[in-house]
Amino acid sequence: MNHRLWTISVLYTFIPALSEACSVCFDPNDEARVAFIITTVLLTCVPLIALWTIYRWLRNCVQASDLEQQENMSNEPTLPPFNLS
Amino acid sequence: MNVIAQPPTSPKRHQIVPSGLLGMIIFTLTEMMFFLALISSFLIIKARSSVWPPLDQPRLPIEMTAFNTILLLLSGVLLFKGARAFSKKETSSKPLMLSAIVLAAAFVLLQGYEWVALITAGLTLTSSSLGSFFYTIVGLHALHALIAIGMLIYIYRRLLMGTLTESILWTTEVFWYFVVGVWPILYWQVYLA
Repeated sequence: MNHRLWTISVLYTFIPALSEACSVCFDPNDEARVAFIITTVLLTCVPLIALWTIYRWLRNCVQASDLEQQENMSNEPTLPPFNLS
Repeated sequence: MNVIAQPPTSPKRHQIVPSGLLGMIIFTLTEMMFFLALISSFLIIKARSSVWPPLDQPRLPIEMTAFNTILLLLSGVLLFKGARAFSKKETSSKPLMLSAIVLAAAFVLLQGYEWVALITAGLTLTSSSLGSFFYTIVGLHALHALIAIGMLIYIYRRLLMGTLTESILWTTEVFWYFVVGVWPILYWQVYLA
């Protein structure tokens, strides 16, 4: 039973004509179909691009901070060598 | 004698990005998607209708809103300049930020005036799909603008009291730039296209 349900779900997902799942995909009006496709592409790509941009920005911030910290540590005055005499 | 090895102590890392700023960036991202979804549905409804805008509905005031758009963009520029002046500890930050608030308030007031004129002319939330989308999209933007104006007034008060921090300023800046930046897209799609 589960196997059959799974197959039907996959078929309906990849062949939406079977279930008439998309109200715009089979619209005779070309303009509506194009608008649907463009907006779908936008809604898919924009969050991915935005998240990637935030990730890159945060990574750059961390790298810059690490570099600054390393420079500060190397500039710290070292103690003079211990003299036994 | 048992010697317990101490874990190596890592140097304490200072906060790289203020939490408020990062939170606001993520929030703005969700808001961006929200407006994008509204514009998407508007575009599809517009493309599906045979006549757009509906014939029996009043035309949207393009010229007056263009002027209003300039006011909003100018407000964004003034806030940017004010924030830079604040970073350099210059006294010009106060008049610049006040001007940004005044222009932002003028934008919302002019929009209110435009709404009254449109409602009187017969464009309401239920009169057509244009009316529904117009008041939903533009109204939600106006609501964001009002909240952002509240934030601008808050930072201006803190600036006057001398308690404004860069973190609070950046957080408000991000939200205001979002409100300013999304408007030309809305204007283009709702009024012009």
